[in-house]
Amino acid sequence: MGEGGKTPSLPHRVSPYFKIFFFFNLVCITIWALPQPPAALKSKGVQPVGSDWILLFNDEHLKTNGIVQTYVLGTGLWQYWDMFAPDPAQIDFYGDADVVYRDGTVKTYAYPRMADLPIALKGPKERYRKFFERVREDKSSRLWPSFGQRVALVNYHDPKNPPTSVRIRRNWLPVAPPGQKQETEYHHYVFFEYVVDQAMLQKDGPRPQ
Amino acid sequence: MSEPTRRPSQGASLADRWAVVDRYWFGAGSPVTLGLFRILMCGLCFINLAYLAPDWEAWFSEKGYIPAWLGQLWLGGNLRPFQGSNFEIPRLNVLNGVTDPRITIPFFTALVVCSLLGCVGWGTRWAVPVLAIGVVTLHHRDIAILHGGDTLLRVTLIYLAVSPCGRACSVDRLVGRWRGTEPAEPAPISVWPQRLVTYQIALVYFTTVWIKYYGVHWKDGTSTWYTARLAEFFRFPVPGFFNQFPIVQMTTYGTLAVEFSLATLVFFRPLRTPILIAGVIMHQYIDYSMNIPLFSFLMISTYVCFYDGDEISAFARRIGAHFKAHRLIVRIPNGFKLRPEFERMLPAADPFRLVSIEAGVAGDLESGDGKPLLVTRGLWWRSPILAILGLGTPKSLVECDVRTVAETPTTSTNQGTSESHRRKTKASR
Repeated sequence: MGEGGKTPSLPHRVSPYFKIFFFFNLVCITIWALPQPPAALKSKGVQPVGSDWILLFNDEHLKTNGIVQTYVLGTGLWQYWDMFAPDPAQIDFYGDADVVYRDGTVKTYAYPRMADLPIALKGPKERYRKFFERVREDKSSRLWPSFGQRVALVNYHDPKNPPTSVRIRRNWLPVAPPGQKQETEYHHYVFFEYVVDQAMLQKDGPRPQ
Repeated sequence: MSEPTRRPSQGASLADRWAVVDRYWFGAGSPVTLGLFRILMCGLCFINLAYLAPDWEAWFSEKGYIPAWLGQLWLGGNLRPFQGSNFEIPRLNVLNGVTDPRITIPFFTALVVCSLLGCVGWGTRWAVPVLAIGVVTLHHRDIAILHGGDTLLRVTLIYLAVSPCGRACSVDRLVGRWRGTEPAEPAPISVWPQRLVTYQIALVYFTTVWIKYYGVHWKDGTSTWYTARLAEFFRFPVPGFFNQFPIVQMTTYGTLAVEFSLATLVFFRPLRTPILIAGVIMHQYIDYSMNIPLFSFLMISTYVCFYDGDEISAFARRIGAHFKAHRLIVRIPNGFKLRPEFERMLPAADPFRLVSIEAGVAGDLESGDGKPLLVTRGLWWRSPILAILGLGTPKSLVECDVRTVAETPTTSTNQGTSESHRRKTKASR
């Protein structure tokens, strides 16, 4: 800034090899960023029309190319831009867990919920919401044991009375479409019960209250 | 100004047509845009890392939600570029297999330092590439917590890492000017990094509109009805009628129109600024009403790449012209001279052209109580770069005793200086 004036021409020309690589990069990121075709199109349940053909061809032949995959996934240039798309979420959800201790007591652990946090913490803690958005899905079941172990560790304060199991729960409220009555009570469902790995818990140590 | 891109006339040869394309993507231009973009992205990266720091253990340690082995499993295995071959390439992750916090925590700290260095442009050549590799590593370590803003940050940092983004708006350039190794005007660069970012942004908006085409509620005009009712996203309150019809339809279709324009019409120069302003308004409304941290600021920061470096320099000078009443004229008495290093450096450190030097001035050199006048007081806001470097102290300015340099509040263009001089004199009494 503050360094304007007429710009002379480039001291060095850009190498033609670099230009080839540059356009290769453009092609790769474009292939990767193009949307996935809807499931109905992929399963041939719906006849593709217009731009659907592009997405289908891209998904079946270009995205699966080993060189494209290696370049994009290996370098960190992978990307997808599906915020609030194809439709915004129509359920409000949050997570919590029941922690069962050795003496039989049960304590509800409030996993950070954005709606309950003060404004200043909403930004830094948003990753908890994002993480639970992924964890709550059945296809993410391999993340559940570590989730349970972490919740147990966070709630482990007394070596004589460690958590023995964790019941992870999703809570959700469907957003009513326009003109329909909005429910106010959240639905609850325990989607995973985890038996705490005591050896790991002892190794990681109790947390101060 | 970047080299003009002329449309080839009818009947132009293939070589002529390629020359036009070549000039657009690889022509010469001022590095100022890229420098400003680096400041913004590295600054936002610093905030992003600062957000992560308190929850380091939860996200990046073996005691956290995703231990390293699970992160690897979630991410997927090595990559095979050639089908049918066993040749494999790992994903970029310098912490691959490292679980010891005595390594991972210093690694994270180093990234925070690199983001600050990248922001001020000190050691840019290595700080920004290290930052980019580090951010890719963190993202490959724990992919399950990433949002769109993270992805944009990672991709643009990679672009910055392979570009000469320290050529302008950087401490590196100031040091170069100080030493006399940098030219008065920053050397031009090929504009491909800037063009790459604009293409990337167009790709973001274009593909998001394309995905929305397959939705239902973007077509029936009710999408923002739902987003406004997700309690987990609530941030600041908005008036109730904003979330009712017909405003809901206006914001739904308006979002689509603005996003599509940001992917296409923004490249048509006469429409560029209005469309970018519409994009800023859209993102600021989202940022105000919804808790999607940093995403709006990241998107808006990329908009600078739609402007040539010289346009940004001219814009900064126009802002400076609005504040001409606050210009600081540093007066140097007869017999003394400004240090040549400072003389070289000042134009590069004064984007708003608010500081100027006047040599050969006679006048009172001391205030009433005999203490030296701090001629550079007030320099910090006129040229924050100088203030950050601590170079605005009188001793650094001239090759003489500090008392021989004075700020003389006389001219009409020096109103702000006069006031500050009066305040200083009053305070010293």
